[in-house]
Amino acid sequence: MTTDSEHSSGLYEAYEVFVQYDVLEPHQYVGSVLASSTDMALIVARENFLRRDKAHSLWVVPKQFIAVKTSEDVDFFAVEFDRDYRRVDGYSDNARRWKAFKQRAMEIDEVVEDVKHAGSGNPEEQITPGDGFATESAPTQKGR
Amino acid sequence: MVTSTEDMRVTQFMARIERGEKIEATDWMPDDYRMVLVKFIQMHGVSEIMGAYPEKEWVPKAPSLRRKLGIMSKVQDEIGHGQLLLRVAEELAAPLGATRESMIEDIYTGRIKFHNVFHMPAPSWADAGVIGWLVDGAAIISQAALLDTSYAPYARVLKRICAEESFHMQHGESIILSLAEGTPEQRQMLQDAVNRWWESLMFFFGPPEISESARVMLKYRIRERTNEELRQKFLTRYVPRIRSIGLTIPDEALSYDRNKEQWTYTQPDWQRFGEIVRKNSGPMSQARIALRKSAHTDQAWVREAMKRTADSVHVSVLGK
Repeated sequence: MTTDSEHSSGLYEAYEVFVQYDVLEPHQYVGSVLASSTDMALIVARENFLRRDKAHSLWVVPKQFIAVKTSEDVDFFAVEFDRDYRRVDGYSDNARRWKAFKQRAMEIDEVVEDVKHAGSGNPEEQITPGDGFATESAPTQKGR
Repeated sequence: MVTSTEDMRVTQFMARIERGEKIEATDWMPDDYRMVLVKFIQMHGVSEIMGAYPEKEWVPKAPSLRRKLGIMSKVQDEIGHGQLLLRVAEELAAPLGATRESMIEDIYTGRIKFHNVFHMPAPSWADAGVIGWLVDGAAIISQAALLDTSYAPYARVLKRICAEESFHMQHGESIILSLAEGTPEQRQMLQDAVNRWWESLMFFFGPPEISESARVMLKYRIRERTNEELRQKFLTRYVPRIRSIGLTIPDEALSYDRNKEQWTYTQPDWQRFGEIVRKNSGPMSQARIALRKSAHTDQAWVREAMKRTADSVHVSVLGK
């Protein structure tokens, strides 16, 4: 918990405000309001943060209930060693290696796009396009 | 012993600032960083609130329903910006014992200053237009220069404020363009308003000399541009536009020096405006402060009643 006793010395309580702009996006922290109650905090938050923007959902949370760590605590956020084995860029050599097999490396976005459409799709599109030896090899693959 | 720990913390803090890191409310910070920020952000917040007053005078007198809706939205934005900024200021000032109530009281006890422009009268609809166009234009330049500020909660609020200011900019321009396209009387009204506001606008950016608090702000990267740099940017942007609609700027000395790449202009009356701001002695200072005070004191019972109701109804929510 934060040192919050000092924050509630005023008449009203501080609330942190979170807005969900789109049903498929997470709530986003937008700022803070001062209010007499949770009901009023919701109204003040709407007046402060949603005068123009459309929103799907609004949360207000009493500030005292939010625990905080910031970048001031360097150790807490430290990445102790290279973690590229957890990331896509740790496997960037796949593309080159697939090429040797006359195949194109796959990306998640194209899979997402692909499954939006009905039908099996065309296996030929999986072959590295526009590149000399890929075109040559196409008949072999087809003939298989 | 205490001093050496303190020195070490200051050194670590400066290293964070120099690495371009942003500071959060819960982080350790030197006292002068906190003090200068509290004062600056409170003044900014209070100026937003007092800045709504000259414009609110025009809500009942706006020339059309659309104009009335437009200027009402603007007044509401200014008060909203004031609330966001005071949240940031009061959180920083909490260890010093300040609250929202005390920050508002500071306006009418004279403990906090607000921008010179909001002490001045707005006698015609053209003044409402010029406030939106040039006063907001000047405010946008100073606020945009703060977007990179080292204090993260302030930077986040400024980002939102600047987004809404883009509406204010269009709104002000729309009003003055209608007058500029209008009758000779309307154009004269616009010229008179520019004449009234010009000196205040030059004062708005503050003196060219770098003050002690400005030095602290530059050191801690709270701001990175000087008053003079911002005034120069304002002149470069607005002088050609003001002239393009056939208006005269009431300063015969105003010219651009190509060699120095600088504007030369007549210094505003630093003494007179300085006194207006320090003593709240401008033509409209006392009337607007009185309105602000009555809004705060006359409605104190409402705030207390709401608090009492909330405490009795929401016992379980806040665990009280």
